[in-house]
Amino acid sequence: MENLIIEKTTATPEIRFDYATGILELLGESYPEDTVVFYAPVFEWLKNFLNNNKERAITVNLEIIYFNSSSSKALMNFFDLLEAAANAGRKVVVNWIYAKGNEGALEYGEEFKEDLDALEFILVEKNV
Amino acid sequence: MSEDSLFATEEAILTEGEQSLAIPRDDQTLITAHSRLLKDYKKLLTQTKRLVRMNDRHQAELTHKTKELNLRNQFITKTFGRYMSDEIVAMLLESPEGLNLGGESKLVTVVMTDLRGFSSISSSHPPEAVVGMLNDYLKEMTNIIFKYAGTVNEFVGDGILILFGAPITRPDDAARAIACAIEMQLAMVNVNANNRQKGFPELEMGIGINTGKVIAGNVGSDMRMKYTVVGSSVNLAARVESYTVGGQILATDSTLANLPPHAVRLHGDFLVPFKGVSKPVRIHNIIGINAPYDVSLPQQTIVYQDLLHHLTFNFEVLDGKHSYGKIWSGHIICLAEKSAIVISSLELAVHDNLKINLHTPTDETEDAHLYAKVLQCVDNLVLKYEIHFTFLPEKVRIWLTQQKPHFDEHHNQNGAM
Repeated sequence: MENLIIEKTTATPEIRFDYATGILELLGESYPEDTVVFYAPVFEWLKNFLNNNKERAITVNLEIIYFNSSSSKALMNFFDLLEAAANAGRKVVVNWIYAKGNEGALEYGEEFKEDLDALEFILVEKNV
Repeated sequence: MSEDSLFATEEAILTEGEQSLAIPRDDQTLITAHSRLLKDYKKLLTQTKRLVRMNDRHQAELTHKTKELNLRNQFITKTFGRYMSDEIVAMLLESPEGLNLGGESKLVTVVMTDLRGFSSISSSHPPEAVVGMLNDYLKEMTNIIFKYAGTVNEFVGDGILILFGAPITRPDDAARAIACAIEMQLAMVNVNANNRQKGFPELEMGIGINTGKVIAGNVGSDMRMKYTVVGSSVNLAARVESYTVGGQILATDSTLANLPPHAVRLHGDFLVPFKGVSKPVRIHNIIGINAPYDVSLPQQTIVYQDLLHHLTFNFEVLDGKHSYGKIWSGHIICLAEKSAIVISSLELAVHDNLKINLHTPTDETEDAHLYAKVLQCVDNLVLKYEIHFTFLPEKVRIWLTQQKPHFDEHHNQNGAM
């Protein structure tokens, strides 16, 4: 599988999915004009990875500064896929990275974490 | 409203579904399908509640940020709104990155205006009249300055320091500055019509324009801060202005260099060796600017009348606003409304400023001074000069109009440099 690289724009985050390490990173703001279209390759890549690498662990680093409602729903769908993979016995770690002092970002992480039991959801405070 | 009551209908559906599932049934397939639907519905409801909570939080953050932004915009509008047109303030608000308040070097066209003889007018009129006159004048001028997207940097008494190129640089800064200056001169007709109606004296304005690098930024202390520009280019505009006579616009070579070719219409030029400037500066007499502005100063025809009796006077040559102290004599041989042909006992230079004491037979005008600027040397053998009155008290003006002409009148178009 090839690595997935989507460059950052003012409205969409930078996305890097490294096949060799199994690390997926999303960094930036997320309010695309068409959320479904923007995230479609990410979902496709993740599904391929999960289907074709049954044993491999996956780590997701999320540092999303701002996201709109449809991006929230896209993230929830994304977490559903990962949660299902974790339920199937795969090691899945999600690092929700937020800037120190940004209470809002921490609370969003806590919201997402609430529904997820099987995967490891870690709130990571970052010193700015 | 609590979250539970907000989703009361959905919660009721969920309760009903769970109660329905609790009823013993034989159809295991139906029970399995019912259980799955209920589980998915529960998850959807949880997600919906989460999305609503997150949205509310987003909304609160945005509202807070909008308030902060509005406060900031109000500050910018308050700080700059008095000096700039609404258009420029709107541009600043849209792209604040274009505004470096800390200080930056910018190419700016500086326009300096001054009212001729206004100090003398203000000392001979009641304060309310002086303030009224100034406010009418400044209001008329500010409208024109804003029309051409200029920045009123400062009202310096009766003068206005106007910037084109700060805080926002545009490629047509110099051209707009010149078009603006011409329209300001044209607007003096309105200003003076208004003054006549109110019984105020007529005003004349000179405009100096220079283009050069300045340092622009917010200068001052926490107590009082002002966006301003500093640099020799600003001073030079003021010095160019001092060479003007009423109704005239003078601009330096550097301003013309920042215009498209053949953009302006000129009427002569001259070199001035300014103190502190290494080379003499060429100054041009601007009389019009071509399309897209297409505005011109009216063509001036000066009608001279030879006097039956020459008018004798004493005069001093001024350095700035100060006199050298020596008194010389001369006489007026021809008169026009705002200028005269004189014979001087002293060799004069073009643009010399003179303080003249006319020898009048009446007590009324005996002490009245008038000021003039040398426009050109008519005949250097007999020291004959054309002078332009830069300040002419009303009583002296009336007295001069009563002087008898000798014979035919003759004309001089557009004055001279």
